[in-house]
Amino acid sequence: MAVVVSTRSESFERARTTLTLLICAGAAIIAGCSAASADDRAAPDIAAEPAHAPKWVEVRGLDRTAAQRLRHLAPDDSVWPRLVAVYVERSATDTASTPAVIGRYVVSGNRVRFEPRFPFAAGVSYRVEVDTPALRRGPEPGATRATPLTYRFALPSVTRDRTARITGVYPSVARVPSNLLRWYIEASAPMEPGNALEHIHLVDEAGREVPGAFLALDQELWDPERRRLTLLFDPGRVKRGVRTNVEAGAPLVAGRRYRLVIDDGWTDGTGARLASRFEHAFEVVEADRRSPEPEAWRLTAPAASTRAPLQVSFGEPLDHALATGMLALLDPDGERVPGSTTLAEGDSTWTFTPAFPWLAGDYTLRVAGALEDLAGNNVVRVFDVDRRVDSAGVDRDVAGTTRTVRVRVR
Amino acid sequence: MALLNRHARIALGVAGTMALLATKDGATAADLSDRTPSPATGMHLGAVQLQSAGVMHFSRDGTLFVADPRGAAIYAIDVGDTYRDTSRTGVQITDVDGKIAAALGTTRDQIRIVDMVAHPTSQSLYFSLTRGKGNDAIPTLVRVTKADEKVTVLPLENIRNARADIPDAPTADAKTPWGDSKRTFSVTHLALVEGELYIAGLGNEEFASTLRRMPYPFVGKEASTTVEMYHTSHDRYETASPIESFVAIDLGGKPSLVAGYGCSPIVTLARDELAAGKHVRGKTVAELGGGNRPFDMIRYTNAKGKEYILVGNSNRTLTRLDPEQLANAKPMTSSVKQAWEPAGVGYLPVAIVGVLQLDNYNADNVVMLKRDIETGSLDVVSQSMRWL
Repeated sequence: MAVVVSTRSESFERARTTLTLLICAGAAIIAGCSAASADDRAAPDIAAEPAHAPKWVEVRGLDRTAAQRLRHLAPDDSVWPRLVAVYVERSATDTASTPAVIGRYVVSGNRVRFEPRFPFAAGVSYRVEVDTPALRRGPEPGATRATPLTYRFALPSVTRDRTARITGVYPSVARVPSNLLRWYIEASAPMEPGNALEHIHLVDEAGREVPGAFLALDQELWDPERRRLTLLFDPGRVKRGVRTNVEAGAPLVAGRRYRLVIDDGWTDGTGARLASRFEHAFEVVEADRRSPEPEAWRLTAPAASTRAPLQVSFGEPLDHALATGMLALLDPDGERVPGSTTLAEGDSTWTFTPAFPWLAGDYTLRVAGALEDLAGNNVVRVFDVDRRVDSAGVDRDVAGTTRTVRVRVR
Repeated sequence: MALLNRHARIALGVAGTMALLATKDGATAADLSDRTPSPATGMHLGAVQLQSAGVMHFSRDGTLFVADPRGAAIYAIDVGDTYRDTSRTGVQITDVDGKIAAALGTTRDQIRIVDMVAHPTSQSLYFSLTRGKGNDAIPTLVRVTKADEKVTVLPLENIRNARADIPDAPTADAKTPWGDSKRTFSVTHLALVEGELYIAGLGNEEFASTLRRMPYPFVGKEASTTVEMYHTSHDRYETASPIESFVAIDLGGKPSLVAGYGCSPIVTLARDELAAGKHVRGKTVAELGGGNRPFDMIRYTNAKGKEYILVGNSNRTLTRLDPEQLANAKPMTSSVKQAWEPAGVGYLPVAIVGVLQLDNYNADNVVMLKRDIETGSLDVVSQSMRWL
């Protein structure tokens, strides 16, 4: 008597077993299997092709008594893995004991089906071990497992197309202050989090990478869609009076040119590498240690009864994300004006186009205290306050502060 | 009247039986009553729909707090771990990421461990992690037992829990009038301190150091507060910076907080200052040296009854600080002479490297998730506090 289990890559034979082991992936396979299903006495020859993405493992041909007994076990009973266990195949050098894959077991008719807690993974090889005598008898306390019936299968690796690209970085301007605080890096598709710093490089004029420029964080700062990464310069190398800044040198030196290079080894959310590498060249100018001053912004007020845009020139580039979200326009009654905004000229100009024509009167541009420039100076206080000279705003809470600028429409 | 009452009781009993029969998933009567929140904890039986797996903290009674930064929420979870292990022995689980990955049906390169904490009474270890990568990543909480290294996935689809929004956190679905918000808030550390959950972290847009506090059991957003935190570099430059980790401790008899920042000042502040205002200045008393992040902090008492703070660092050895010295320290007023030089209150560099996670364990040990620098294996190991 024999059971032959064959797959694309292997076949083997075991004597004196009455169980059939199949890897089933769907109705077609079940149909294919059923013709070959075994009863308790016969020793059928079985051939099963695992589909490319099996969702469960099934052992067929239990005798009636065994099936009845097993039906009483809970789907997650700790006895199950001693009867039927699925293991991840590990390399020969992995000597540590390996736990069985977690899942639930369901008995139906003369079959036991194992459904893994998480889907079987592409590129991983699995080994199924079935203790056939114990499955018939039930496990005996203290008994070691008899030589199991073993079956192996693997899900092929999936090769994904390389389609994701870096679509831009902010600040996008050609000149940034030497105390630049952060980059935003935007991708065309959701990215794989966790290893960004391995693929993002700050390169100086001589082509040398500036080491340790960016702040390593346990959890990278992604937007909810994982398409925009916030990359902070190590504050210790930006802040004044911190020795790493003085000794290791600020990552950016005024008067020099650099490139931000993103290599194509970075993987997107499907595991595919970027379609191409990305480079952004820029020049570094003197440090910016002044807060944005809304009172000094230049406003181009539109005429009443038109839908002409309101233009606000900051006089310097502001933080790309914050300049989008931290400005609001209120009508003469204090209600928020519906409309659309754009940032232009390297995030130094904010344009607001109302949904409806302007009314004559005084509108208000509301500016949140947390609005920052490229160096992290916000409207309330500079990034690193020198307590000998910068006393303004140090005792005000940033989140609770707003500034207003009057916009007169005639 | 008495007769009527008896009939009423019978009717109720029948209704109760019917309700029990009506549950499809085999829930017990006790489960049914669990679906209404418990007045004591606010917990109910239901799903924890994690959008991301973040940092964790165990309260002394075994309530697990988990941050879900993407969901802008904190969950308090009754993990139902009733096993009591009073042993004082250490724990050793070699290749723990390989074992967890295998139990989850995958390989170790396909899981990412975010945090590890130890259950206060069962001595089991709990991991927050993602299983799978990128678009297929599933946030998961896993328990590994001390004795037999049994790996269990917490049944988040049906578990006693209470959820609270992270106060003032930008949420994924919060929209600006001009489009979807891209703001998120990443939690670096959380801990229950005298009935309040303290949450430290940083946003992906504005640069601020904020400490959020919310009462537990959760009662609603109104009761939560957000404090802006600043600290001074050698008494001159005042800055905000994300808090990496903190520990609540009495310094000189005063309830205080010791916080570790990136690159890597150690800052103290009195907890009553947090209650007073929205703007708090901490005192920088030590500098562990640049290029380092103090990512975990615990307090422990050694065999001689002396209390210490232990700091897990990204780019230093395990570090021991003496709270007495922190309490008596003056603010640092001068800068160090060279990069990476420590200053201010001194510390003991403990000869243990490769520590990635750190927590209290049992009466005699602290526990670490540690990369063995010889073999590269990721192991759970413990260290006796007797000599620490």
